[in-house]
Amino acid sequence: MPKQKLKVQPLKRAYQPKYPSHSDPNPLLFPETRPYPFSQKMIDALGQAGFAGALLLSPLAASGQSDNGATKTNPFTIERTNLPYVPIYYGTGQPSRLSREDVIDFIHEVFVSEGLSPNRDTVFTAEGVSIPASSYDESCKIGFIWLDYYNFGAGMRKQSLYDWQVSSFKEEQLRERFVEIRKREYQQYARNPERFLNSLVDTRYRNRPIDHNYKQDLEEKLPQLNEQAASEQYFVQRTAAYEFAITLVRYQDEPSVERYYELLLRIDQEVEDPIERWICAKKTAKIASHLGRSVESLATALDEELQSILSTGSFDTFSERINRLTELLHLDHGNRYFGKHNEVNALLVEILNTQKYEDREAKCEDLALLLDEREVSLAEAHQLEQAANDGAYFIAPISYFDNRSIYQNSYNYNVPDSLSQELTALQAQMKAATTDEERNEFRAEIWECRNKINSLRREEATMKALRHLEAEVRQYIQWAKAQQGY
Amino acid sequence: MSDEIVESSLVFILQQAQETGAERLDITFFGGEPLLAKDKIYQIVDELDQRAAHLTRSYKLSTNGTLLTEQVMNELLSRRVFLSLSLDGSPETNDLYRKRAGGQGTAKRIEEAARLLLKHNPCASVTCVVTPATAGRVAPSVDYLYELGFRYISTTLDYSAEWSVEHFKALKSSYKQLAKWYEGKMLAEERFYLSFFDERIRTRTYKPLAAHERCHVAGKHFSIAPDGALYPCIQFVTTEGRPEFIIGHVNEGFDNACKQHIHQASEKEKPECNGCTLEARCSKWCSCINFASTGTIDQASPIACYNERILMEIVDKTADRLWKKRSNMFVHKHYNPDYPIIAHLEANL
Repeated sequence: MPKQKLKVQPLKRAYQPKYPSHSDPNPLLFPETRPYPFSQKMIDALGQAGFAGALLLSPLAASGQSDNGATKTNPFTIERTNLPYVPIYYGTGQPSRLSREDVIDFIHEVFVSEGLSPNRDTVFTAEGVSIPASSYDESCKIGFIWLDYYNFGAGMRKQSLYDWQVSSFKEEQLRERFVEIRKREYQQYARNPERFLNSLVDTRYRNRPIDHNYKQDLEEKLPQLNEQAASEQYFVQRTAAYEFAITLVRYQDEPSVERYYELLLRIDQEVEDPIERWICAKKTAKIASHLGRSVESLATALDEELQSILSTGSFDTFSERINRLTELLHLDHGNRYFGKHNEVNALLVEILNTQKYEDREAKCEDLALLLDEREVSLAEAHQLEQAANDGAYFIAPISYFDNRSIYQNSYNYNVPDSLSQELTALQAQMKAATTDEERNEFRAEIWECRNKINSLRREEATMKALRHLEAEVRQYIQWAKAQQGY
Repeated sequence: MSDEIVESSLVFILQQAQETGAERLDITFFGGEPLLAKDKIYQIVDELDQRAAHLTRSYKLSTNGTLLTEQVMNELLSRRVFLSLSLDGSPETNDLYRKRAGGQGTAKRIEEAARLLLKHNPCASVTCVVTPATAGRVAPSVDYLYELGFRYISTTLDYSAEWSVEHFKALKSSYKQLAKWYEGKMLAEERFYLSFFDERIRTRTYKPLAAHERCHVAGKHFSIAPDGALYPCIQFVTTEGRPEFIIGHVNEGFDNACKQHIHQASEKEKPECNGCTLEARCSKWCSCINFASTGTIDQASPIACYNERILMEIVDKTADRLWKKRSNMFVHKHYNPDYPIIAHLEANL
């Protein structure tokens, strides 16, 4: 068999190696890289040469070590985010935390200073993940996301009536919770009716006809009901009716929500069960908030939608349309985007202006996707951590609830001499002022001066926290680089 | 080489150094077998040490080892001549081609020379030439050389031989065996240099050589034949009957037009390589390889092309595995600029 002749053939597709090339960062700078493994003979020779020998070779030995003391572990795990968080509604003992305005630009610059080329506010999409990355370098697959109320999605909050990112309204849970609370109130009433009724004056009672009626009904009717169950049931039902009435009163003189008030009146006429009425009011409250506060285009579209719903003859159709509208509005469960985010708003208005419900469905899906891109669910956050551990991509979840986001406003702040002197002078001038007008002027100036000092004090405290965060971010980048293998 | 030519060569070399403002002089003695003329070598080195004392000098000699004795070794060491041995592998492999005039193999004698060489210089290098006949034995050959004590193993193909696709199939199989060998040694943190692998990894971990950094055929380098004729490189000295590659004579100086013509030809683009993804990493610019393979210097070598296409992938995959395992030796060998110094110090302990 004749031998095949060789010829030059350009290779169009070659194997793409993964080990670092000359254009990648030198792996010697990675924290994982160990120093040069000197042979035993060399170590013995160094030992004989003593300190001089060690000095001679120390630069060589050290050349495998990173000089930044970077960690071998990921400093931004889900555990460190302290998510999901437990909402705390009362109390003043909460620490001050860095805000997204403090953090995002600052950390973005840290990434840039590490030689990366991240883009701000990009939608990052991968398998099982669609999130708004605060800053992300696509080529190096590294970035971060600042997690706070603005982008918390499903599972980020514990003990919530509203499971964020679940669009349907949880009517059953709402009913159970309402009944449970009212039953507890009834127990209080039963123990001491006079005290309970008097306490109403300090809470819901406003000396309006509805308040008088409620108090009067409880005083008159409840003693007539001998059985506790019947008495309790009456209390719960009457309280639900009272609360619905409060809602009606609240909106009756508000011109901006006129159409919503008409909606409540229709509910009042058509729905017999007071708890059901109260739930309807709760469910539709979002309509009122958007009518009252939204941008004009959304308020107009909502108003037209309500007019159309109110013109419906059948109550069943009316209810169905109300349900559809509330479901649509509950897509933005946290009230963070409707009326605030241009792209989202435009699509919402477009949906409301679409006449046929069949045509609305596809657009609603688009809206849900658009909103999903703005939010991060707990599952997605876990996915980010998994992807980083697998070396696929690295988006550090930095959370508002992370303890590293806390800063301590220091009262030991050294006020600059100029401001301190200015404040003392203003205080003296105010003391010497002879008229109220003069005193008010100085008071305003003192207020402004104090604000300046507070602002500087906060700046110092936040900068301290940010510097700590910066060091952690740099460690994260080193860790990610080592995981990624470049 | 006659005494007259030796003298003319020394004068010519020193003139060239002066004219070009060179600060260092690298002299390599090639053959045939240069130790056949060992006295001439001693004489040339001694003369240059005297006459070119103002220049940094280095002397290298490539030998097959058959004439290397303790006495010769001492003479060369006293003159700081660095020896490189040509040994094609295990005795069976080596004796396929390297034979005495009487037909006997040279392997046994070379092995003795290798031990002698390594005794005096543990960093001595060995050159292993792979031919079509030995293509299937590369891995055992390299292992043999390693076991013999060599830690600097230069491997190259015989580009002047007639290679076929079938030979490359055998070579590919050899390279795969060699990849396992290389990986095992690296993971065991052994210190060694194997040009087949290390040079190719270097084409990725170091910037591609710019044109002015490459071997400058008919430029900074030249070779002097025994008759005093000047050639662009050692590979061309054997071009009997090819006067177009003679670029001058030590008595008459350079033929600048010829020199420039050859240099320009070596720098020519290779259209046959257009669109190749390995273009920046292969040795298509090496005139010696192209000449040995095609008889011209401006055509890329099909042998080198085939070899790079097969070997580069195997090398890259091996390097990827070592990187994935974070082989400490791999990282230092290929990314630590101090590695050559450390490895040299350790080898000499």
